[in-house]
Amino acid sequence: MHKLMKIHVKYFASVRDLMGTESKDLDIDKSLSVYELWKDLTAKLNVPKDVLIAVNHKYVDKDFKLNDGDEVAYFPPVTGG
Amino acid sequence: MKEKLRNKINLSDKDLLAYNKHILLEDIQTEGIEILATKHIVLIGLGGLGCPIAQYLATSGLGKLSIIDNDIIEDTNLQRQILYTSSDIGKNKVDTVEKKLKTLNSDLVIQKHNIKFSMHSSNLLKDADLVIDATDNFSTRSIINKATIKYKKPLIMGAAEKLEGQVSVFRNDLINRPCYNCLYADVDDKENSCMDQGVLSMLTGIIGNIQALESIKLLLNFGDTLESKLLLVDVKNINFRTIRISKDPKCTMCN
Repeated sequence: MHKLMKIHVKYFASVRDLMGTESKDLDIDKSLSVYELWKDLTAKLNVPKDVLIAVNHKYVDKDFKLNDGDEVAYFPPVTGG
Repeated sequence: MKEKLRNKINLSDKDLLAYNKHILLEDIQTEGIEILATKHIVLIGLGGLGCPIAQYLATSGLGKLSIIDNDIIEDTNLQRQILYTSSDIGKNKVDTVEKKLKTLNSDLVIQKHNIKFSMHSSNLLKDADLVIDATDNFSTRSIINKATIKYKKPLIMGAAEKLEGQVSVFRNDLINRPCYNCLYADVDDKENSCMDQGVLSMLTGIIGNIQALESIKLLLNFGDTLESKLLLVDVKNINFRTIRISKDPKCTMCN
């Protein structure tokens, strides 16, 4: 049995619009990467698969494993000008 | 053509008046104006970001600005590309920007290149003090990143679409610092060009101005910059957030 982890999720800019909320708190009982959590959160939504991710205000790879108390932020790539 | 930059110890009375409000700032002073007059920035892209950047760099007393863009001015540009007017439609961006900047600062040395930036033209960065990426697509951004690593130049990256933007300072002149590819290597659908997306005009002004600001701070070495950080801007909810970026040990571009 995996220890229960408290995760604070933040959505930024157009990701916030897609998700319909600015943030949410989750209790997670399994080891998850930040991108696995993204796939879970967006499973029933038609959202772009590209997303950038920061944990505790630091940019991370998609395979970064979440830890208890982390704040994970999802934000869109931006390349226009 | 090799044009000489201004002599840094030769500020005229006209300069002292023109830059008075900057000279009064403790972080700039007369010395800062003298230093800026010796500096060369390469600005790639003269669209929504490039227009405010070019305008503010010209009026800051920068010595030399190289401008690179191969676009023609179109009706749809005028909403946010503030250096152009309806009488400029159909003209080259580089020619038009050169004319406008000369009216703002006749001492500014301008080198214009009516080309699409590529690795073949990367030698244009050779004598730059820093490079500004104000382009509108991932593939050109990636080439600019590669070229600034090759020539060891700091890169000020800005991007804007819809109601969101990003700015970062990549110290590609230094070792062991993150580059643009450390941040964007994981993104698959990189060609979501702004061609089919809307963009709020004030957003491009905000992002472009932050790029110009970070350029001046880096050249004059004051304040905290966005070095190894990414500024996220959400103007819809007027939300700003800064995240730290580390060098990716697996990055294929900067290792």
